[in-house]
Amino acid sequence: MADLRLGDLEVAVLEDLWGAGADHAKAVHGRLGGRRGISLNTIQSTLERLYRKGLLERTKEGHAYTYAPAMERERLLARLIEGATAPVAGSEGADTLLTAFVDFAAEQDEAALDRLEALIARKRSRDSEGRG
Amino acid sequence: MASLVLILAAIGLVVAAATAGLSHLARPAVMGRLVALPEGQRANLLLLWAWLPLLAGLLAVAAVLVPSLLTAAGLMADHCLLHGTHHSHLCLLHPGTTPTVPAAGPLLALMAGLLAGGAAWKGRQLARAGRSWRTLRRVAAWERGDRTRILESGRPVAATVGLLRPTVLVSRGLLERLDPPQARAVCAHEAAHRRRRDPLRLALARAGTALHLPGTRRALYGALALAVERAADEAAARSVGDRLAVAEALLAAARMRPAAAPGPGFCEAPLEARIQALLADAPAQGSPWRGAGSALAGLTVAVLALSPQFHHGLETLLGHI
Repeated sequence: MADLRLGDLEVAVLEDLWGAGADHAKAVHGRLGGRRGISLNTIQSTLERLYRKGLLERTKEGHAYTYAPAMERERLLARLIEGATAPVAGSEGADTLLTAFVDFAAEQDEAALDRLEALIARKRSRDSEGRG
Repeated sequence: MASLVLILAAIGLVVAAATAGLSHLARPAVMGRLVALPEGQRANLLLLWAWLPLLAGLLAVAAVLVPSLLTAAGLMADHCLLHGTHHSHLCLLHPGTTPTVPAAGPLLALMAGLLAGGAAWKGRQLARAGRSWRTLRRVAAWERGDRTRILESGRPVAATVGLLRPTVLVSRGLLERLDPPQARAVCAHEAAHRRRRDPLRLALARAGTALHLPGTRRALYGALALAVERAADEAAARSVGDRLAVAEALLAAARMRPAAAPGPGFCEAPLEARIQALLADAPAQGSPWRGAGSALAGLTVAVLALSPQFHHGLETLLGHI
């Protein structure tokens, strides 16, 4: 999976198009430009960058392009999650800035998990007997 | 001056290497004692241990420089003039008294170059590892404003990301597959990681252990990783009020592992250790004075090392080599 990186503005533009559907640069600028104090030019180059990253599709209408999201948020998130967790599996799981709840990358032995589950269940029933 | 800096660097390196060697030898005994400590304190001591070779090296260099600096500040009579020049001196104020090392300048430049190159490489690696998580955090940022961000995805994710201002990322898919106490346990566990800045601790340990021998490096990092997870597990158990709910959440999350994830089975032991610890009774809260003894010992060593006698002894030793 290619290393996909997105800046703040790129995410803002994507969010805008997810909400508004297909639209051209001027309309995106109308919604985002004033609030964020950025020029139409910046919006245009951001759209162009997202298109080159494969996150937007575009069709030419007259002189301008109309941009539309190439994938839904859920699919982009899945791709990002895959990209973020994949290198952890290869390395010792260390050179990253995260601490995960459990190491999803680690191969868990089903039999060992079953044994642990039985241990927890036994403790649970002993605890409730002790209270009852 | 280049000779003096080179000698100082060599002293630092030798002391750091000796500390790393001693750490390696003492590891089984020290690890055995650390296991008995509460996990929060254990994590702090392991981080200190990770940095011990570097700290010892820096302390040695500081010890050598103390008389020069005290003299420059007018707090001490000039040591090397008082003492005579029958052997060489490690002195910032009288460069002529320092032994000269042939080709000190080029050697020093080479060392500095290697060090800068290594640091830059490590920094880039760290930045690259964090990049995809930062993007993920940005996309999630629009969904929830507070410090815990929900990822609208069916994939199981529960992670704390970021060094200085960590954020908790939890996916909808994970929360929906857990029962409410388990979901609370996961969120409390990650919140504890965020409060304790555990990603920063692990990154610091990674940097510090670079000077340890490979076996010790892995053992220290592994022990620290387990200690921070255990500390977060205990915090979650206190917050939810049910130790078994945390154990059940751990097990449920382990079973959700995406089928395609590669990697050898090196992480079974930590999961087993964490669940076994949660099945045992809650550990007693540590007394605030427990760390006082080791702090006092450290302070004593530092005071002894920074005394003029240590400086003089080292000079005499080097002068006769």
